[in-house]
Amino acid sequence: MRSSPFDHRPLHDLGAALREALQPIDNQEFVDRVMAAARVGDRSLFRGDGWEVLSAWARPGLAAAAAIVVLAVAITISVGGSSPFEEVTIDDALQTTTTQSATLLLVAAPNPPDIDIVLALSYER
Amino acid sequence: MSWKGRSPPTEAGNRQQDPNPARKRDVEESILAARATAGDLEAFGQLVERYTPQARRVARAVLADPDDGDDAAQDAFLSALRHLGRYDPSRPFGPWLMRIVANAAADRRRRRKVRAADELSEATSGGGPGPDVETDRWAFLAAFRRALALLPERQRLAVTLFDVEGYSHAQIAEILDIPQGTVRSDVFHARRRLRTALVTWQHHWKEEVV
Repeated sequence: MRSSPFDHRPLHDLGAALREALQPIDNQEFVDRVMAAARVGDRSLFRGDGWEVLSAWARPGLAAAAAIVVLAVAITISVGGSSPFEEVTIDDALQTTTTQSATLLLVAAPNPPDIDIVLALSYER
Repeated sequence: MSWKGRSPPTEAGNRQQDPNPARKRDVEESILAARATAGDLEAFGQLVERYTPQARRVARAVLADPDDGDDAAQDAFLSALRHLGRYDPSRPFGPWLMRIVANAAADRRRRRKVRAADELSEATSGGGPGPDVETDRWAFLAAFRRALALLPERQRLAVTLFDVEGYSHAQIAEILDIPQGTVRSDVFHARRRLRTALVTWQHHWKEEVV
């Protein structure tokens, strides 16, 4: 077959000569050598290292734990619901054993106290 | 042919009788690469076996010293193993790997600062081939290696990838990261110089023998 440098197809005669000139011997020995090197680096190249496995799982594990905590707090607040200071009635204030605890109860309450409660405490004093 | 076209045939692939063996091989190699990425060293071994002859030839096209070439080819395989996650399985595996091989060989050559002429003297050491009929093949190959070593590195790679390994101009452009027109030009100039060297040697050999 005639061939030319202008040919856009591979030239078989030139390719065959080049192949022979570059042809390595004993490819199996080379394969064994590469695979031995790959096995030496196996622990770092692949996921065989135990610490890598643990560290890979650490981040999603922590994220899942944080999500569970947030969910639990949200459920507790919405369902279990009521703070002891939320609604202080006149009876609550009057039933406290000491004036100091009754005052604390009023101060800690989220809403301003009813005037009747304040008056009741004054009476107690 | 586009980058996503068929891979060039490997030696094993040449023997297959499947109507579309290149496509089948591309799929197989994508699967092997995926398994290797997942940690399957045996799958990686199959890829190494398939591409060892080709990788060694391409590395030797850059580094005429066979030991250097093999070291570069090994570096390339291990680098490919480390970076398999970056391989796009929708593309043929061969060009991706050959890019790594070419880069590994070029890096090694730069580190060693070995000129092609120096490599040539080592590769063809032995006093030069006489036109002995018994050693004609050896002499031919020595002359061919000499001519190849005198080419610029990029031309050596381009002509090897095109005429030996069967990659398309487009694929070689991707492998070497150069325009397709430059690949065509490199292949053309490399062929012309190799053929000139060969014809000269063949004429000389025939005169001596006859």
